[in-house]
Amino acid sequence: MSIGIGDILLVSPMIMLFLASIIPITIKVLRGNIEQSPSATLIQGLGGLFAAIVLLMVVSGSGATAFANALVFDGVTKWMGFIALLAAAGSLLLMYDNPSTTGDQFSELVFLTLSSAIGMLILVSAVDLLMVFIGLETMSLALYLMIAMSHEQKLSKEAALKYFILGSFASAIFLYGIAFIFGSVGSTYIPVVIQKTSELITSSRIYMFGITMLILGFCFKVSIVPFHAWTPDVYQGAPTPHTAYMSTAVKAVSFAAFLRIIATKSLVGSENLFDLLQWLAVITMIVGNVGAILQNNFKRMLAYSSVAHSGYLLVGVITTGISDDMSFGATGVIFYLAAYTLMTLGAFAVVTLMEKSEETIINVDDLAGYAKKRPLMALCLTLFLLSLAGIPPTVGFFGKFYMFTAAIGEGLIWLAIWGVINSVISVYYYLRPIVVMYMREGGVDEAPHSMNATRTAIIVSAILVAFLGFISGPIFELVERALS
Amino acid sequence: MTQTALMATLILAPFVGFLINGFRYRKHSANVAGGIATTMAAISFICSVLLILDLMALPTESRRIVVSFFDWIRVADLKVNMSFVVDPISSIMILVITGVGSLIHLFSIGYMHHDKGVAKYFAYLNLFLFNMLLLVLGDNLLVMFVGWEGVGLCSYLLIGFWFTDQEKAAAGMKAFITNRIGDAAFILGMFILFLTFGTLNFHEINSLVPSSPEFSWLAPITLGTLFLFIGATGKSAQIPLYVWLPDAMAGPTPVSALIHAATMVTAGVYMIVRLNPLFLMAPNTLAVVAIIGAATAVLAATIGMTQWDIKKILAYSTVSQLGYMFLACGVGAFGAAMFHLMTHAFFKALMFLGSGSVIHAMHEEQDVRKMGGLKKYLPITHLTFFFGWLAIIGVPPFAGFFSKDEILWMSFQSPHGHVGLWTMGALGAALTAFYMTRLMCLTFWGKSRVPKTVHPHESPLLMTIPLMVLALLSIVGGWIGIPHVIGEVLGHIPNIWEHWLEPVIVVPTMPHAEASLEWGLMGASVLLAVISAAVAYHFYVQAPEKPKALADKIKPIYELILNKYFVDEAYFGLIINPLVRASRNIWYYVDVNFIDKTTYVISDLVRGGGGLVRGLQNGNIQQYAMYISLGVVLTLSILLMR
Amino acid sequence: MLLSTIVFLPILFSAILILWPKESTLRPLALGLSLVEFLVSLVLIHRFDMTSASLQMVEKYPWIERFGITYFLGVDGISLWLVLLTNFLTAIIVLGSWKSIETRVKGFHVALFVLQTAMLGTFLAMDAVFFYLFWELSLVPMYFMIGIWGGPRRIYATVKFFIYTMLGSVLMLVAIIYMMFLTQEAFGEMSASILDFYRLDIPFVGGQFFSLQTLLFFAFALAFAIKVPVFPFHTWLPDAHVEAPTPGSVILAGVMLKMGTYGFIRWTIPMFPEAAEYWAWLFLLVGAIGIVYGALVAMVQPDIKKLVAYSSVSHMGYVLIGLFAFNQFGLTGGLYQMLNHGISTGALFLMVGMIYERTHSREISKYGGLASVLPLFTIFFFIVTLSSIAVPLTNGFVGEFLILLGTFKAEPAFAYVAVTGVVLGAVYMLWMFKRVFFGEKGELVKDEHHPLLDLSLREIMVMVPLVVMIFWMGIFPNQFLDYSKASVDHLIQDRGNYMLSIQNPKSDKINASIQGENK
Repeated sequence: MSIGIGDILLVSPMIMLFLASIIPITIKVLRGNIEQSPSATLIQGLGGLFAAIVLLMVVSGSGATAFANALVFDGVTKWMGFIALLAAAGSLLLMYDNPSTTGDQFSELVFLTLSSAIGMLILVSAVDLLMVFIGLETMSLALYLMIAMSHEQKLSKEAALKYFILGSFASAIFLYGIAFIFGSVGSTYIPVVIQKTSELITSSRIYMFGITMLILGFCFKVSIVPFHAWTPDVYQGAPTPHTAYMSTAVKAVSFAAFLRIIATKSLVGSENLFDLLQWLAVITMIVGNVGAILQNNFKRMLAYSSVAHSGYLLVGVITTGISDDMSFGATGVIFYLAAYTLMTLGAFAVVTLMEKSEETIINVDDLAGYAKKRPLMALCLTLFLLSLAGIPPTVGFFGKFYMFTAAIGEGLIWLAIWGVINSVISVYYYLRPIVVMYMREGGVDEAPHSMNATRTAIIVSAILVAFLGFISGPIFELVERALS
Repeated sequence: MTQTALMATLILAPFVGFLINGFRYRKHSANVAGGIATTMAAISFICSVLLILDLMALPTESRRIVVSFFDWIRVADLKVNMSFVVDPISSIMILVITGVGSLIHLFSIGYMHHDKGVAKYFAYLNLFLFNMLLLVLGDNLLVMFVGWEGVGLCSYLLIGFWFTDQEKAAAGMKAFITNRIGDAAFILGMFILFLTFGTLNFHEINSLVPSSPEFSWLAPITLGTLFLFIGATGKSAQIPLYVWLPDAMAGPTPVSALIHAATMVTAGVYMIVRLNPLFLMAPNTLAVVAIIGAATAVLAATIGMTQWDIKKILAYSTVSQLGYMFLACGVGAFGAAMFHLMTHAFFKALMFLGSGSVIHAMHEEQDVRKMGGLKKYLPITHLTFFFGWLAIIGVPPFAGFFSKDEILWMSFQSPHGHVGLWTMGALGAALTAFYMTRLMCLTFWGKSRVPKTVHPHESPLLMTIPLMVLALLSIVGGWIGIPHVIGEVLGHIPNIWEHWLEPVIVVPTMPHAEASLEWGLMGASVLLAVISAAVAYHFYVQAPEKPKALADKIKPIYELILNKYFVDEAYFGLIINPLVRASRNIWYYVDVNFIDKTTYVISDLVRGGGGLVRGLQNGNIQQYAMYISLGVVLTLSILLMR
Repeated sequence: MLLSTIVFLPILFSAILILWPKESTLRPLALGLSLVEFLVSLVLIHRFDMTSASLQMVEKYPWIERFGITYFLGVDGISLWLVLLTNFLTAIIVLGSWKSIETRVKGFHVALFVLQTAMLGTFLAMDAVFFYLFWELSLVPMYFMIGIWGGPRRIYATVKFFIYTMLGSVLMLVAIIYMMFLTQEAFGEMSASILDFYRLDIPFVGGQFFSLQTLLFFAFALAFAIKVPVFPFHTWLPDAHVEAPTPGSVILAGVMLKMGTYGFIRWTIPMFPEAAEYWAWLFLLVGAIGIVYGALVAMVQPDIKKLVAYSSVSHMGYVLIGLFAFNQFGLTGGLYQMLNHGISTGALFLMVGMIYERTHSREISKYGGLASVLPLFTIFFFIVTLSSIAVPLTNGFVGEFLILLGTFKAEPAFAYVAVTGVVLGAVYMLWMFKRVFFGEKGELVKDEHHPLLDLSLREIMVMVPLVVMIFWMGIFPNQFLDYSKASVDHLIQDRGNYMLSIQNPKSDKINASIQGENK
């Protein structure tokens, strides 16, 4: 096989990211291991990201493949990559402001972030199970390091360790699954696997075994119950910007790969897997929402809510799988992920505003009186929370609306009903911070140092959350056209 | 003046008075407020006289002036006009209302002179006149119902006029709510009639009634009329809803005279007479009406014999007299009912005002045991009261005699009548004579029991003039309805009354009867009355110790009657208190504990689940790993084993 | 553009208020703005053509074409007066809240105007999703109103309110989505327009619950029933009302409850005629129970405001049985009673608020003899009481009479139950009135330290419009009923297959070609 210029062009976004990622550390080395000003680093990182986004927009969407069909650049790649990179950019802003991440190792941090972004791009564009695995690991390893690197002593180290051990455990399962599939199909090229599925799924136990392992491996990444246990601890332990990064970008790309691999009629359609996934979805929703109710730690609460949202998203994935034109359901999932990224990023960003030092733990009750002190920020947080709860006319509502519409269209009414009932449960804990902020007196105070970058991120995403819904129609159609 | 204008002034004059006095509710001058109010009442009186003159000008069969102002409710085939009618029936009513009304307004100026809320008082009084006129002039059931509820409202306001006294306020509320029960039935009656005839207009209904009476209890007309009658029992204080009227005496005495004797309480009778062709087609209803009427007449009279409060006695007497009117309606003697309604309005208003004058003189003392021998202090009051007394016990030729005799005769002779009804009527008459004489003796005659501190004095002219006018009316009022037998004897005196009502009231075809029979019954009832009056006089003037002895001899019965047969207690004990208690329980158990608690249970379940999840989440990594492997093993076994 | 103006003007107002620098002039400004809005809605009446039953002044633009969701506003005889009521009450509330809202004045008015938009949108939106948007949006500002400016247990109450109503409406969302797919099957392309929903004929199997139309029917009905609230879903109401600040209670009782009954008229009944017909008995039953139950429970309340709250349950019961009587009388009465309840109960809450501002207590037992201290207040309160217990010549009577007549025509049995409400209504109101205003002066009334002042000029200005409406609507009901007559008749007569046509704003001829406007 020969690597043509076309391949290089197609992967140019990743190359771009790579180049951008090494700039800060190179500079640091050249300056005799003296950190340049964080803002410079930030600008380099952001520049890399935005350049990558531009390139991605240009090269992908056509469905062209690179490196002997290892990577494909279709609609899913385009939009999921877009979301992931945006999330990365947002998280960079947070890291820049946050005491536990910024400072004398910021350049390394940027390097790691961008490299994990590379992994994400690989993940979303991979059409070969091995490539998928590579992408997954690139992304994850960078993340382990990022979390471990934080100045904060105990919690984040523990979190990193947990994430690492359990993550490798899951990866092992995943790899094991791939091996079995290869054994039964004789190829790791996803289209082949899928096309073989229809006959193997019933006949070959081995294939079945492999595919299940594969799915469960992914379930870990997107924290589907019962593989979610790491989520609250890691989300809480990790520095908030990283948490934001994980809960948005990582989730997005993992679901992208998930879509690509399993969202096919022959797989999801087979009644065994269909039942399995449905039950996983329902249980995940319930455990996520119910678990969040009693949480007082804000980050932990959001962690559970992210578990719950994985449940909703799984409904979308199932819908995509069993529908004839997968573009409809997939668009629903993508749109939901976009919306989810915006509001989660925003919510975590507001949390970071209040972190005076590495150790501060933000409890919901600490928000008392926030609305008096910072009306604008309180309003933004309210928007994010209402959007997470799916109250119209926020973008969160439209996300749910599209996904459940797709589900109902495919006759998954009972899943949709589970979904809406769960969103009612979720209202209960999403409202609590609002109650505390607006309806309780209290002296909340923010971190002393300026956080303009974060505030910008918050306001931008708040505006998007508030108004994206109204123009969601055209966007939806755009994405859908790109997918089909 | 056109009839429309006349009608408008007739109805609106009191309303204007209400507005004027209402807006100056803080003022204290009785003369000004009373002056305005009385003028307004007088204006309506004049208007009604003029209207009635117009009415007389019309030929007998077409005596009906309808004035329609605007249509009020128009939905689908329900079309209700704000239209008013003057015909022989309503003409009598408006004369009584505005005439007697004006007199009572006049009286009130004197009576309420020292009250601070006098402007408010007269405002209410005018408002009452307005509503009463709506009631009697209304051309259809719904407009009548407007007045029907309106008068109830005014009586609520006037009974509770001295609202700082919890008792009085309670009495007002009791009156309104008891009436409301009747009104609810009234509404149902309207529905049935509307769904049967497709209209609520009296004229149309009366023209649409079938020619043959219906005998089933559930037939629409019977049912409808029965519901209407229940409404009437509320408004006109009949069994079982009469309980509010005695309490209503809490209001100022002129109010009792106007509302609770002369006008409002007769609304039920009026309504039945209005619909007399309809009621005639429902013999079952008529029977019920007659029996309830007779029973009320006797029952109330017995209670009246034992009361000590001068106004309470009069109140029960009113209830009993109303019973007579319903008895008359029940036996199809609608003319007689109206006749008694009018005469009763005269003498009962007179007596109430007289009692007011007495109370005024005694400085708000109402207990007859503290009176006696007032004759020499209050000559005018006594004289006028005396005529009223003669009228009510039915001594010829006073007003009461003719009307009551008419009723008794009809209840005996009419096709709907029955000898039993006559007996009850006659008994009632005897009892009436007894307790009224008792009242006279205890108040005016005998030796004085007035406390030394009180120095009774005759009331001012402002109050006595109305008394005199009414006294005159109670004497001559009956002469327009002299029965034929007497008319013959005295030389062809026509029965003006019957002729006047002829076009609007169906007179049942009476089986022929010997004049002697009529004379006999007449004599019997009069004799009964005179005897019992004499007994009463003996008891309470000549031998004041006797009644006590007698009461002791029949103690249980006496106690029973003295406590009004414990009806109020029964209502409270059996209906009201249990209802309130039940409501408390409903609220506590159903609302607070059942419905809310169930929702709590659900939310608690959810929270419990939260606790469970948190319990599984103990931060121990090995355990997490175990979850994962368990998950894997479980799913695989499920998938691969089946 | 008129309807869009009416709906979105308040949002603009709230924006203005947010940017308004001076706290001191905020209230007058808000008052002025709300009056402007009210005047604009008067133009609506002026332009309204009462002879036609079709949607008027329609604005229909494609919005989310992928799902056939449109920006679709329209008004007919059923929603017309509710729009007026909303703007009328909002203006009154702005004036009425000058004393009751001391803190965060700006925030309050912003919330109020946002809420106004939400309510107006609910009444005017003719596209299911668009409607749902407003329906849910209305929760948020009310949630803040109760939660921020409410009483001691406000947080419990407001969360309860939010979750109850949300629980009801999510199932409606599922039903809406499902029906959008039904339109796709039936007419080839997806549509959320109510006109297309009307055109669907959804298979109905009498007697069995798990049949398509019945399920959809109940999915909608539940949402509306909780909002109304229908017994036994009413328990959020007393809490919300008691904890809410005066203006909140007024809006809640005056308008938001009507969103539920309006939903029944606009959506549930015409979309699922067979199911509505088949299950009418159920709603008549719960309605009748609600009347009696609400009245009985109101009777024994120790707290004035709670009493009024439960009286709402009773009154809304009337509305419900009126609607499900399925004849002109019932429906007209129901519509009218919605307005009456809005005005009389709104007035009651305002007056309870006024007295609360003076004494800071709502304990009935602590009052007494108020009439001699506050004569003017007493007069107003009494008039409103009359309207609430439906004394003739007040608005309440017309509505109640028509409802009872309609029910009696349809199902006498329920009318016999409902008519007891006529008595019980008088009982609980007058008993309360007696204990509060009559008798010896209660501890709060005779307390010398702060003698009670009678109504101020502002308060009189708040009450007078309401009292005027009470009598106007009671004496000349036709002036109001004529506007909705055509729509009501249309709904009653063609309930079987109900259609709404769109009236061309230019010329008055109706283009009935629904296929034409559907694309």
